Amino acid sequence: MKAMIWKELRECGTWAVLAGAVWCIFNYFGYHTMFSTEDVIRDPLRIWEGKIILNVVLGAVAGGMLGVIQILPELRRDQWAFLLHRPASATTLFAGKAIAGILMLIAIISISEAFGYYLLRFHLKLEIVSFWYLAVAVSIGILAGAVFYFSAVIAALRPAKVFGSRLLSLITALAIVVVLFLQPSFWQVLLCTVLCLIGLVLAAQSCFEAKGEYRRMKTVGRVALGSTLLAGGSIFGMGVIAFLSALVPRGFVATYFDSHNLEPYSGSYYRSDYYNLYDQFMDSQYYSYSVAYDLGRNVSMQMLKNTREVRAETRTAVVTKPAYRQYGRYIKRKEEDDIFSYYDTVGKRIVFYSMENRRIIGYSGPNGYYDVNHIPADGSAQFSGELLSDAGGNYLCFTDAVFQVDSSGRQIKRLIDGEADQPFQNVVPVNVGKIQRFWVVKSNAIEQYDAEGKRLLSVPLGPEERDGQYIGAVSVDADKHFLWFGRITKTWPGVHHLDSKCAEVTGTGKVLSRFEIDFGEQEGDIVVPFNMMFAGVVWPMLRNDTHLLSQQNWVVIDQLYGVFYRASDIVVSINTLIAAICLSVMSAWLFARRARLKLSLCCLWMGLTLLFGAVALIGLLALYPWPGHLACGQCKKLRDIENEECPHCHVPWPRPQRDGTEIISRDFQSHALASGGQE
Amino acid sequence: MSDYVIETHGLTRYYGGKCVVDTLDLKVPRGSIFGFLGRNGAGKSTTIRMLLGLVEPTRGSATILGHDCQNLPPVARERIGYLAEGHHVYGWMTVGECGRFQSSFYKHWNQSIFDGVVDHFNLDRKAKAGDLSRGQRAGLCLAMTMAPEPELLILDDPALGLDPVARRSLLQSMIYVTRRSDRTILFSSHLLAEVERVADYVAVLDYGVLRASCPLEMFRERVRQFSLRFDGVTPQLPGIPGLLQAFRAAGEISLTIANYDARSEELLRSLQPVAFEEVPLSLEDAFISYLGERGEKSFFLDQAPEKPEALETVAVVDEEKLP
Repeated sequence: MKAMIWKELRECGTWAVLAGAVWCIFNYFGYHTMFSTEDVIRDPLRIWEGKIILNVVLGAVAGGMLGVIQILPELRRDQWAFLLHRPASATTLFAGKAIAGILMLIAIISISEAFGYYLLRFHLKLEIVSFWYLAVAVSIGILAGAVFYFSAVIAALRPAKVFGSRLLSLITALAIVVVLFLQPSFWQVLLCTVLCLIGLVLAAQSCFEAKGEYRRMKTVGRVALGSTLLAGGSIFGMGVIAFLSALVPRGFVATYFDSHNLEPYSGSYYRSDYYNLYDQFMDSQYYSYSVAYDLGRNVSMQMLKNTREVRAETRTAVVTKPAYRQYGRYIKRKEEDDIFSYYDTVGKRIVFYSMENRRIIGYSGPNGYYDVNHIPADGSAQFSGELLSDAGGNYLCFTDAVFQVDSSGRQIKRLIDGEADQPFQNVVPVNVGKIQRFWVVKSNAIEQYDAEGKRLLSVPLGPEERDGQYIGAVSVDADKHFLWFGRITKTWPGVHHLDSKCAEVTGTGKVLSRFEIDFGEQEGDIVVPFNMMFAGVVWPMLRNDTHLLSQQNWVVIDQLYGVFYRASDIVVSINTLIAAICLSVMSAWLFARRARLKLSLCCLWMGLTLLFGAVALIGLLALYPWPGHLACGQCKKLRDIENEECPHCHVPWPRPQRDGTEIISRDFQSHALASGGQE
Repeated sequence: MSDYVIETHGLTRYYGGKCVVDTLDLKVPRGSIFGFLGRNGAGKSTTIRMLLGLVEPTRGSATILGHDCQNLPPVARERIGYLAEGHHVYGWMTVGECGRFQSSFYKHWNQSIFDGVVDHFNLDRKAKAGDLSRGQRAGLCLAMTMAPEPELLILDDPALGLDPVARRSLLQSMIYVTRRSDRTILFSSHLLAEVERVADYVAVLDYGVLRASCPLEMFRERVRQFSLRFDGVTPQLPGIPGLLQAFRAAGEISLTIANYDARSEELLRSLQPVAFEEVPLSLEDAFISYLGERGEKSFFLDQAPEKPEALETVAVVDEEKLP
């Protein structure tokens, strides 16, 4: 394998160096034009998101390029034979190529990133540069590059017959990278990438072993490649449908529960959920519809238009940590001030940064402000918990304590102390009639504190309430509160139900009543089978039931799903539904007949396709070969060229006709020849 | 241990609906030099690729050194040397690097063989492989193929595109490696003089069908040509078994027959020729006759027999009318 790695590095290293150099030049001009002047002064922290986007693009381009240039020149018939016919398994040879490719990818991104670091730190003199974020930027670029690398290998190896279908794996890669980029946590990105890469590597390795010939692959490889291509096809189809949907004069519903983005509000006891309806023929505006509930009377009030005005909601207690691509969430700066402060999630302290000389001038920790030259070495200048929320910069709510921050950010006051065994899951500051309150969510209770850190009430949580993904609190007044616990459960594949429970509590924490609010199903009955069919089509990372990996990406995904099954036009839904059913079942029939399956097996696969959609089709293609067919000389019916015997008349393939000129030595004759050959 | 290093059983390969190798039953004896002959597109390279597991057969099976050709383990590949017809090398490597790269994959690598062949072809070890002439590149490939001392050497048209000097060098190198009695060489070629010089056995593939597989001498013996002279008009030919070609000229018929035997001779003599003599054939002549157009041909339009589908007019030359 070492020799293979050496050969690949020597062969393609020049391209890698060239790509690295080009990207360095791009970095140079990019940093000067995009980051060096106004953007940096306005918001220097934004540079990190920009850098990560740049690295994702670089990684994708570099990975795709490497995958293609490592494979395409080898595909010539003799060269391929020269590559493969050596005492090493195809897997070893593929591993050698892949390791070399990834090494080159790492080199390209590292070279450009090191150059970028040099530019930022010494040329633009931004002391804000952090090695952790540098590592994140490099890593995310490498991950995106690896996804594109293996997709490009598949695209290069696969002998696609349909024009453009080679690009399917690259479409899959594009979708994977976009979804990965949107993940809030770097570790989620890492986990998702590894999961996706397992499939892509298996598919690429199988393609390499079989030179892209699907029928020569092992079952695992067929499934991996089939899934990859199907995902690409589905995403392409989604894009087409989304584009066509945009042309149709009807709206599509993008449903999300956006309440945690609303400003804190109290004084009413409504709960509302928002449905955004987009209709481009109506002033090109977004319209908001809402279902509002009177929690006190437990009834649905009315459908309100543009109910953002109602503001009938407190913040729900969803933990919204800053995404990995954001440098920090707490940013405080006055326009006229040349010093701004932000919370550094790695260093766990507030950083004070001078825009004038582009230097860090000090830090704030739990015990107050420290000059940059006088930081205690014992770690006491760092906050110990994870930052949960910042309440507009006035409060820093950690998992173990809540601090009040003065207007300059240098005076820190500890308000609420947590217990070691009961960390805060979230802290939500709300205003109750202009008076600041804190709702603190723990694993076993919800508590309310006043602005002085005094606990006002504590409501123990029941077992089901503890599982709530969303917890809301509505304060009617100081003596009456409603707590809401929401949990999305799955009733059918792709069909979700909002399990919603409420508790009415007094000012002392006594629970007066418990009741449920029925929010209904997310989808109508008509689209359920349609949804089921596509449930298997959609790449697992796009499913909104992946909230085990990411609790927050479902909002994005619901919008994608909405294109399909939340179409308001029932006629369109029915037509699409019928067309999709017919297409799937017909495909299953054709595939099964092509594979020469018995009628009963054909029917079985049609039924499975009806139930499980494209997953069943992949299974069918993966399990059965796809042979060519020729007319039988005896019965004239089509027969599989791979089988020795005709399935209809049971006649073997005829041996080549003999005309008496054959010269076959007796030693070389087979039994079949012995009867008719000459000796 | 089997007497055969390669055995195929009904090996068949389709490309789309076209059958390029049809039910091939081939045996290559151990220790032989086996010439694999056929016209362009006959299916020789496809067969070799199937034997090496680079192409999957549509039907049938093959074993090579006792291993199923579709699942050749690395240890089996180490025992098989393969020289593809394009003489492919990585052009950016030097001759020395090519040797080192190749040697890293083999447990048994005889550097002296590599050096010997490289010297035989006068190759500079620091020269880039991409800068070598075609003959030199063939020499480098041969050196890389032979240095692991494979038990079985498969050469796919190794002399293709080489000048006579390079061809001779290649041939000498091949003879050099066959000094070991248990080494087998399977090579395909169009250069029949070279085949005649070194091969013990030949197999002839025609449009994917195996037409001959026998010792070289046997092939020579079985393909024979006769010249029959007649007074006046040449008679119509009876159905002669194994007839490959018949050239009809003024008062003369030249016949090339495969598997000539007593019955064939009886049929020919029944035509009552005034002269009946055998024409000696080189392997090349025999091969061309064997794989050329079948049937009768005539040099005279006015005496063409009434067999239009088997008739081909080659030239319009009437010797009797010449001044």
